[in-house]
Amino acid sequence: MNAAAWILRRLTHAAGLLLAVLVLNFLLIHLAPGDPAMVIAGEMGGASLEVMAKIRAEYGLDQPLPVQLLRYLGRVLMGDLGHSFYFNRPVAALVAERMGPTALLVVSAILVALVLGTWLGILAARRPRGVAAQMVAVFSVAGFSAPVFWTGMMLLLLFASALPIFPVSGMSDIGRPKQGFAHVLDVAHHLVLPAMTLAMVYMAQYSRQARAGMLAALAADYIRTARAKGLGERRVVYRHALRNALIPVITIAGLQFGQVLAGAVLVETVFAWPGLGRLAYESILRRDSPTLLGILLGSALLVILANLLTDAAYRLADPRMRGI
Amino acid sequence: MNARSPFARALRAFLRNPVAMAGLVVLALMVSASIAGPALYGVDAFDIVGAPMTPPDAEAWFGTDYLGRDILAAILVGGRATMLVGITAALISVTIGTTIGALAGYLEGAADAALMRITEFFQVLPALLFAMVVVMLFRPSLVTVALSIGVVSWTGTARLVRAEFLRPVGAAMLFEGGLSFLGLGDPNVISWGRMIGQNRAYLLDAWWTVTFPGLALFATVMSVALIGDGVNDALDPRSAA
Repeated sequence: MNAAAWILRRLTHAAGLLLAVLVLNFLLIHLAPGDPAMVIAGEMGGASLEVMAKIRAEYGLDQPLPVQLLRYLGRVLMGDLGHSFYFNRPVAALVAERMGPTALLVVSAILVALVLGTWLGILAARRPRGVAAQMVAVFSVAGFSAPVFWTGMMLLLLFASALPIFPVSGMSDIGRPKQGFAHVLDVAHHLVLPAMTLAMVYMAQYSRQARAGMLAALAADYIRTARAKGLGERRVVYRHALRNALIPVITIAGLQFGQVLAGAVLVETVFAWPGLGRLAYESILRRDSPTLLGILLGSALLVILANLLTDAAYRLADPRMRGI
Repeated sequence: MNARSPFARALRAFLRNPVAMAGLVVLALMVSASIAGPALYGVDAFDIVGAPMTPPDAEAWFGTDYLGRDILAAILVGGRATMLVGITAALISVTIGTTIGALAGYLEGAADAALMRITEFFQVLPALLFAMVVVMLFRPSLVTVALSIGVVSWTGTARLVRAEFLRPVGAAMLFEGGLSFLGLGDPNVISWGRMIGQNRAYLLDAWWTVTFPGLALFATVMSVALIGDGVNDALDPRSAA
């Protein structure tokens, strides 16, 4: 299949998924118990029957459901995700504004987890019965089991309170410059603890995958060949085995993007990181359902994008994938 | 090699695995503390027993929270919701996951393709956010929380077998912890996640209010995971020594 046809097929597929998410969003609003007009009236602080009728007409709630669905899809296509009761702003603007910080947090956490997790996995695979391998095994179970919001707080106690190395919350300091290299440093300083917290969970999982992948790769014939022709062990491991050992790790990492995004909700809440997760927490506190639904849509969009990029990366990295 | 039944062989392998046995001991401790602990300890988790944020002492071993309530008493009660919701949600999740997985493997053509589309659809939605929306729209209770965790997290369980059931139990307990931490648990029930969420603002002044409930959750999930790994190894013929 040539590249253009492949891209077209993938994009159609992504559009289909997005449409399904939109329909789900719409149904969730309408399946929930209670009259949406009543909810809106409630957010406004109560209303008479007359005002309720007006709200119904204004939001098209007196129309049949399929008509309402079409109208909803039309509005979303025009970039209108509704209005936030609490923030009193368009949801689309709120979501767009918070996507950047979340993407920064999630991507940094995944990169840290990939690099450190792979390294731990290699460490464990090279001497499967050694002390290091045992410690990696324990760490891997602990990383899976520790609640991420709690780990974040423990890191705060250690590295922001007992040893005040990193800031407690936020993405930048008020007094610091908001542009240039100084701003980058400031944000990086604030990013360390949240990114480490989030990375910890996935580092544990990737180390498991990398260990299994590395063990399989090191047992393969081409590794015996590489050793037999006299290559150094370092070169055998990092040049020859690693490339194949990484494939399952990257598969998992790509599939898990959505999970990491969900983990970011908890981490952002702990560290007051101004992203989608923190926005989700704030909108729960205020029962601001249009905002929460907008976030669900925005994050589904991010996951679909990440999946597209993972597929494309595969196609580039592994020529065998190009037939599919 | 002795001519013993596979079950006896697996049981022996499990009992000889020190890590798995440690997990079993910790889990037994946590479960019995949750069942009998509140009655034995005799302090009501809702009672104000001292000054707010009293550090751990001889009176209250784990200190008091931001209102002056006994942390240990709340931990003893709080495990019930986490364990109950965790097991129920994992059962729901595994039932949906294996049913859809098996159907997709058995059916052909359009039906198989449709099931794969449904699976993909659920994979695109970040599970925690999806559950947050569902719980918020349908009002939080132990039932809605367990149902929504089960419904949003089944895609990971479609290919599970046998002992791996314990993985989703741990994951579901963490999931419940996260929802309660965000204030989306049953408002009438104490749970470990909820304790951490409520005391969150006082973390730097009263570390014990957050540290101990989190340790309880961590220890419970980890013991379940270690038992799961142990059972898996014991049933795996390749790992037989």
